[in-house]
Formats: sequence, structure tokens, C-alpha cells
Amino acid sequence: MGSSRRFGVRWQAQRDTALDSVWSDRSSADPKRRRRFALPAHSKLVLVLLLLTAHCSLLTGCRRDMQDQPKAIAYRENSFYKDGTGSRPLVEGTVPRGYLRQEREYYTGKKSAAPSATPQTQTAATQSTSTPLYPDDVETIPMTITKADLDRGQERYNIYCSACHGMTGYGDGIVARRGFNKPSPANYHQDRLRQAPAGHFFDVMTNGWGAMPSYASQIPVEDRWRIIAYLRALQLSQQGNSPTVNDRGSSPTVREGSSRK
Amino acid sequence: MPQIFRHSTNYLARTTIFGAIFILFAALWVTAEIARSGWNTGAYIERQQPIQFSHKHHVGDDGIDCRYCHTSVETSASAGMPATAVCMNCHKQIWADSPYLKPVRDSFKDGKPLEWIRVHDLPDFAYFNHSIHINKGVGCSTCHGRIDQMPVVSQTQSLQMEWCLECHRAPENYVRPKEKVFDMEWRPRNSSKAEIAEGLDLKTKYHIQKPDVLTSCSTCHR
Repeated sequence: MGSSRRFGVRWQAQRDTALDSVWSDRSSADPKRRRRFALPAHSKLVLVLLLLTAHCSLLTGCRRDMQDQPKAIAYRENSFYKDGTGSRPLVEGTVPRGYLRQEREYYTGKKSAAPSATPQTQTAATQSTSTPLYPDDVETIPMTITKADLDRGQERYNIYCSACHGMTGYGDGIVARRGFNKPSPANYHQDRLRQAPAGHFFDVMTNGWGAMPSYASQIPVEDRWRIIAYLRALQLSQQGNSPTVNDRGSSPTVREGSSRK
Repeated sequence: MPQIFRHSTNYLARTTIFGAIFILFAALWVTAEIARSGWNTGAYIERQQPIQFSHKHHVGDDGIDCRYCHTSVETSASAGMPATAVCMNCHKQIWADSPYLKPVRDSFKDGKPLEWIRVHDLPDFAYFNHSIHINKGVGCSTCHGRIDQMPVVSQTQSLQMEWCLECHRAPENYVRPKEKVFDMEWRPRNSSKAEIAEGLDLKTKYHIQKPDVLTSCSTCHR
């Protein structure tokens, strides 16, 4: 009790001095001067309250105008167009800068001087190499493949191809195992595909084949060739007697529940 | 004249003074916490989509890579939303008759785009580019959380400026080796000396700019 009393007294004293300092010019003749002295404490309080209010209103959405500007950004809907999409498809026949794609072999996987195509069926497997199965397609990859390209090919293969064709290319990826099997994804380790020219794989990736859709929108041209390079490595790795097989290619995953063709 | 207030009333005065300070700071603190909470930022609020698409199933169970659908994440500002045709790559045979996928089939047939609800909605005055982050070693899960465990995707971070700056001020705490960028299980280092050194190494290796550049206004507000 004693201490509180002391405190009370001290506080009383402090309050008195504070009041004295505010009202010290009470005796001043100019009443305006007195008001100027009195106002700051009041306006400070108002300021603090205003700041608090402003802080609170930050939460409630006065920022929305800048937050959602009426401009086109990727995938934002846009009522201006009939189909409602802000991201517009290219007008048919548009050739963007750098997309002239004159090198036929590189961009289509077809031979430059195309011989008249001989009719062929998708499923025909020719054992002899004397009559080429895909005569239009380029035999080899029309770009230099470095180790980095091969690694990139492996990465892209694992992203886009392995879901159906499996990590080792037996056509036993997770999607195939979950029921995408009418027909099953191709097994790369069959004679038809071992002998197929590089351009055939490019053609399949670009335009689709059988049940497989086109992957042209997902895999750029350069990556398609790199994937083919990796496919070749995969094929070599499963031929067993190849001296070029290294540990990277010959680490098969366990194949489950899928028939090897 | 007897005193109106007893001495014990000083308690009240004292409490009021300290209380005012406390209440003021408490109010500020509560305001700040509300501003950071999911209620304001939208974090941890699951967004129902027109199709019950489960990232947990496609990424976690099936192991499909992020980039299979979000194709442009390495090369452009937007990660890329898959065209309906990409869904149909698999779903023309798998679950081909499921009523859940009717909107997908309809969209595929009549060419009308699916309308997804944006989960991570940055303000339009903030510039963000996915590809630069991916190519400098910022992983998907750093910002998006464990997508492979989310049946319905929700934001796991506040996406507020202070959150962006946390990394822009000290990227060494968050960058990871590039080959781990799409790895959902990679965890941020818990800031032991060796791990910070590793982060600093990566920072040099990937030519990540200094904090004064990364925190410059025009880096994100352009």
C-alpha cells in the first residue's frame, strides 16, 4: 500500500507538472496562442485514429482496382472475344519471326527430295532392311548430338514419353498400366522401331500415330531430336551385346503387368 | 470536502496508462496478423474447380512431371495451363466415360475453353516470371507447397510482398540445385553454416543478382 501511495503521489506530481507545462501560458493575454498549445494533443490523437482506420481499410479491399486491372494477361478471360479467351491463337497462316522453318529435314523429319510415298500400314513389321518401312523419313538426326543434348533428351523423355512408354521404353508406363491399352503404347525394343529411321520418331511426335496424339505443342523441335537421340540410347541399352552400353542406359526399371511385344 | 477518489483509484489510472499502450500495440499486432492471415491472403483456402482435378493423384500417385502439363514453365512468364487436348492425351482412353470428365470432353468437342479458378492470383501491379525462378534454382514447392499431396490445390504462402522479399533479400536460404527444382520432397535448408555455404555456392553458380538488385522496386513493379 505504501508503494502504491508513493506511486500515486508521484503520478499526481507528474500530472501536475504536465498540466502546468500545457497551461503554463494560461495567463497569456492571447487566447489564440493558448488554443495552439492545446490543439496538438488533440490532433495527434485524431491522427493516430486516422492511421489506425487507414490500416484497417487496407484489409477491406480498397486496393482492388490496382489488384485486378482490366488488362489482358495469360489465360485471363476476356469477354471481347466470342470464345471468351484472352490468349489468342495465331491466325491461320501466321509465320512468326524466326519460324519460317525452311529446313525441311530438321523441321519435318522428312527427306528434302521426297520420293513418292509408298503405301504402308502402321502395323506392318518388316524383317528385312532392304525395303525401307518409312522411305520418306530422314535416316539420321539432322543435328549434332552432344552429351548435354543426350541428357536433355533423357530429361524430356522422362517428362513427356515415360508416362506411357515407360522409363525404359517397353510401352509399360503408368498411363498404359492404368488402362491406356487400346492399343498399348509402342515398345521401342521391337524390330520395326529398332530399324525405323530417326525421322519416323520425329513424325510420330509431331503428328501423332495411332492412339498417340501429337506432342508438337509440348515438345519443341530441337527437343524432339534430342529425345530421339535418347531413344536410340535406350534401344542400344536393351540389345545386350552392344559395347556402347554404359551404366546410364542399362538400368532397367522393374516392369509390371505388361506384355512385352 | 472529502476526496471523491480514494488512493486505490490510482491503480485504475496506472492500468489505464499501461493498458492504453498495450491495447494500442495489441491492436496493431492483431491488424498485422489479420493482414497476414489466410482470411486476407487466401492461403489455405481450397478453391473448388469446375473439374475435380487432383494434383495428388496425377503428381503424387502417377508421378507425372509438372512440365507435362505446365509446359512453358521453363521458358515463359506463365507456367502454362494445359489445353484440353493435353487432358485428352490420356483421358480419351482412361476414364473416357466418367461423368466427372464430361466438361473436358465437351470442351474438346466444341473448342470452348475450360474455366479454371486461379488459385495463385498475384496483383496485376506485380511482375512475376516463372522461367527466371526455375532457371535460377527456385523450386516449385518453395512457393506452391506440396502440390503432390493436394487433392484440391490451395495457396500455402501469403504471396505478400514481405514474403517475396524474404527470398529476394537472402536467396541463399531458398535456392536449390537445378536438378531438384521439380522435386516435391526437397526441403529448404535449416540454415546451418554448411548449408548456407551451399546456398551461397549455388547463388554464385547460377549468377543470382545481389540483394540490392533483387529488391529494387522495378525488379517486380515494372
